[in-house]
Amino acid sequence: MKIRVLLADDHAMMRDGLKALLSASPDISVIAEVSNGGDAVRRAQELKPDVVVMDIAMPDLNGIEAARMLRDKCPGARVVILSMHSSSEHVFRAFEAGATGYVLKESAGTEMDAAVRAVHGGRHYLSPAIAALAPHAQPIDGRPGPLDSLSARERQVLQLVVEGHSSAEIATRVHLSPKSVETYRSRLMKKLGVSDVPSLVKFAIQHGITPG
Amino acid sequence: MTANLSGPTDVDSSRDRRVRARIVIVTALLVLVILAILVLSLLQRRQEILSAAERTAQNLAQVIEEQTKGSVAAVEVALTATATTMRLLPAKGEKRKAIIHDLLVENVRKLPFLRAIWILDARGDMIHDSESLPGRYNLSDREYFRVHRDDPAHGLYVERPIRSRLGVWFIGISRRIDKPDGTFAGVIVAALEPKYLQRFYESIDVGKEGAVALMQPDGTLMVRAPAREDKIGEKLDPVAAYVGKVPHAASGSGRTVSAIDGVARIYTYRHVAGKPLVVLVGLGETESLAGWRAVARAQVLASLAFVLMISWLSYLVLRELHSRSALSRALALDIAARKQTEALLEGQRRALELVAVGAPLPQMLDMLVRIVEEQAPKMLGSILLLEADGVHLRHGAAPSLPEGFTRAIDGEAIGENAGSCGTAAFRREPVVVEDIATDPLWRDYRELAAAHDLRACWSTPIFDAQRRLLGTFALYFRTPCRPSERHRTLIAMATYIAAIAITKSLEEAKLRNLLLRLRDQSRRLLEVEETERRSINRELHDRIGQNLSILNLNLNLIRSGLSTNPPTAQGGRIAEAQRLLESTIMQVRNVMADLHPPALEDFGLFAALCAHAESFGARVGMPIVVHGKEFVPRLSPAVEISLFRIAQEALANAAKHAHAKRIEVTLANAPERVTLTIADDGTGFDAARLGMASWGITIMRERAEAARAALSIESAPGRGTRVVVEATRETA
Repeated sequence: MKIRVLLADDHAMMRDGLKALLSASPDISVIAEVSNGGDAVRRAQELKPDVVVMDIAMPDLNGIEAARMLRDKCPGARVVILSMHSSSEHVFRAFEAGATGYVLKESAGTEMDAAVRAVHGGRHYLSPAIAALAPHAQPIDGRPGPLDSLSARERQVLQLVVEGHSSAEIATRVHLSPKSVETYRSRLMKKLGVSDVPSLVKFAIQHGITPG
Repeated sequence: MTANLSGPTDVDSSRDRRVRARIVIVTALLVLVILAILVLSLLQRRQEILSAAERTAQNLAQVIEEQTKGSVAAVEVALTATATTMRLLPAKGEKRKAIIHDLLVENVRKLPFLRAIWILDARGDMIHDSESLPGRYNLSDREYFRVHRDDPAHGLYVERPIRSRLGVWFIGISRRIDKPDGTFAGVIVAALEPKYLQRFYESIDVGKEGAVALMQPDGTLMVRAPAREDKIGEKLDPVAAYVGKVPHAASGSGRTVSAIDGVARIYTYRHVAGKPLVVLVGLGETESLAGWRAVARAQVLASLAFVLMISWLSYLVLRELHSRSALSRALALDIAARKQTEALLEGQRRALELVAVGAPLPQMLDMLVRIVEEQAPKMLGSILLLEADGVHLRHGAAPSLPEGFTRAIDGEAIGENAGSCGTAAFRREPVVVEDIATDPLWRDYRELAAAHDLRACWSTPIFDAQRRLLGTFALYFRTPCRPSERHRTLIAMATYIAAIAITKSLEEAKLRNLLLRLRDQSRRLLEVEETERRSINRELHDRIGQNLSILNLNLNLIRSGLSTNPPTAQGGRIAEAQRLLESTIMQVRNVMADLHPPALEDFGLFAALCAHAESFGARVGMPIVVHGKEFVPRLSPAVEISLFRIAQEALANAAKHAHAKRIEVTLANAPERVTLTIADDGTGFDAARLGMASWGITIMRERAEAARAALSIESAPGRGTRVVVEATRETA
């Protein structure tokens, strides 16, 4: 069973390139292409794709708003956002709107197939270049940052949450009960002062942690 | 007995001398004070206007720098992309030449300010050329060729302007092409037409005497508006020396005389960031000061007239004193007369003080009438002001006349037979009505006057220094009477002082308008700047960024078609090109972020503040916390960008000058207004000295004005600083 992908980008050449690239993978097929956010939502409701790849800046309805609508109207589809911008604010907004993948345009050629597979497998995907540009990847003046307050186990759980794993999956991986994973998770969020997963991802990007 | 007789006379004459000396001293002091106040206020206004012009020039220079930087960056990207493509194409093959030629032609067509692009090989032979010139050219003797050949790390080279064989000026912008092993493969050159930049410069209103120029850092003129083609390529020594004085400063200002046309200007220059270019904006000093000069001339004339008047009055008084003292030797001293004269001088002094301190006009006129009324009994003074239409007289001051009467004559038209004042204004000469009950001029107002028990009225027109009519000064009496010599002196004093007070208040109103217009202009400039930044930003995002991404995607497709085992040479070369493309896209992204905050466009003010706090905080090594949330619906774009720029400036100030350890930004939302607060824990400063506003604070004030927001800065040494902006919410 191939991964069924819907492409949304207002630039025809970009769509052609992405289509050629994704179709070259044996496990991925592009089932439709649209040129704006509104069409993306309509076609996704019709075709129920596995993954929707969307440009962040589109006429009519932009990628972030379209992702928000897809979350309600087509909950089965995973969303990968394509963007020129690398700020953690952009990534945060995309994840907050329900996207689980964020790929920089210049890296689309090398990363798009991996990103589609990752989000289809329920994980998060983020272009590694974004984490490389993270403002707090290096601690300021050698002072201990918030990351230093986490235990090794908490860091491990943080990494897995950022990658998009559910508590049950994390439990199997680290050999703990789902209940203890939940405890780690809420203690972690409390220590870092965040309340939801998108904020946790934003924090992770700012500090140079990236999924995968 | 003889001694006894002469005794009192000696005492009196020595007292007279003391009085005369006092009058001379008082008059001289008065004249000095008036002149000092005049000179000080004129100098201060001149300084205000010059610094406003300097700010305008600085704002203009910033706009021009952005635009120029954008154009050169676009050329740079085009050259880099072309050089990259060349390296990717197979070295041999019939199609290679055609593809490269198409690419050059496409770049020249897309960038309107480019005339041609050509490529030289390592020997200096022209191998590609967007204009397909016939014949063969070897350009190895050109300076740019030598520079790139000898210095692999030179980067972008901007040549001094050259006149082509067809007589068209152009500026060569060139870049080295490397072979994959880093050796010299040739040079790619784009000929930028200065005319395009010149047209943009000409579209900017710098006034009749203003000038805009683009130069190299050594003072070589490249582009100028208004156009002076004969000076292009020349090194302009005075300007070069001026710019060269502070070669490392990004920008600066000053006043100097142009080497090109000898016009004195207020100059501002800015180095174009990262490029060997300098933008110079000059506003004509004579032109900027034209309005000031007219006002100054009028004020000087009025003051001189007034000084003459005082001297003349003092002279009259002295002469009278002299003759009186001569008389007194024979008769007795007329003490009453001297008291009157002293009272007159005292009254004059008080009235002038009022004018000098700049009290509001109604208050000045009211006091003037009261002072005149003190000088003689039974007089009721009145001042009427001529309306701008030149036909109607409005109430000016009449503290002792019955209110019913002044209200009844307020707004009456001037003319023949229009009472004493209306007729005096109409005839432009004094009108003396000794008995209202019988004089034909009062026919229409006789009953009104009788009802308020007024029987005589003498009115004198008030003129300014150019003999334009300003109003009338009148004295009313309860019994019929005619003016004495003393009355005439009083009336002359009153009309002169009234003329000066009225002229001064009219001119101050004119100056206020001028300042308001200047402020409005500077607000519009800020708007133009932001619009321009946003459009360059959009252009970069929608065209260049997008196209480079597609190019990279396609290279990836080509590479995936090649065999990876064993790896081919082309595969390696394409991978290298992709790395170059990715770094070029990153550069485009940085240029975009500098021009306009991307999060502001996509999400709103709160997101933009968070993103800026994050990157700026990381840069200066300090946590910056942002509180608040996004506004729904969003604020207007003008208010959003103004608030953002204020925050940017306040953060920069806190980090640079205040040595703060922690900064908090708060965005609060009330139904009718939004409040932005930037608070730091730094050194602070004396908020009372904000009058001597620093440059950063001026920028914040201008931004706040542009958003029609209120800006307040609270600070004290050692207590940190709070910048608070309050904007009213315009519902969109």
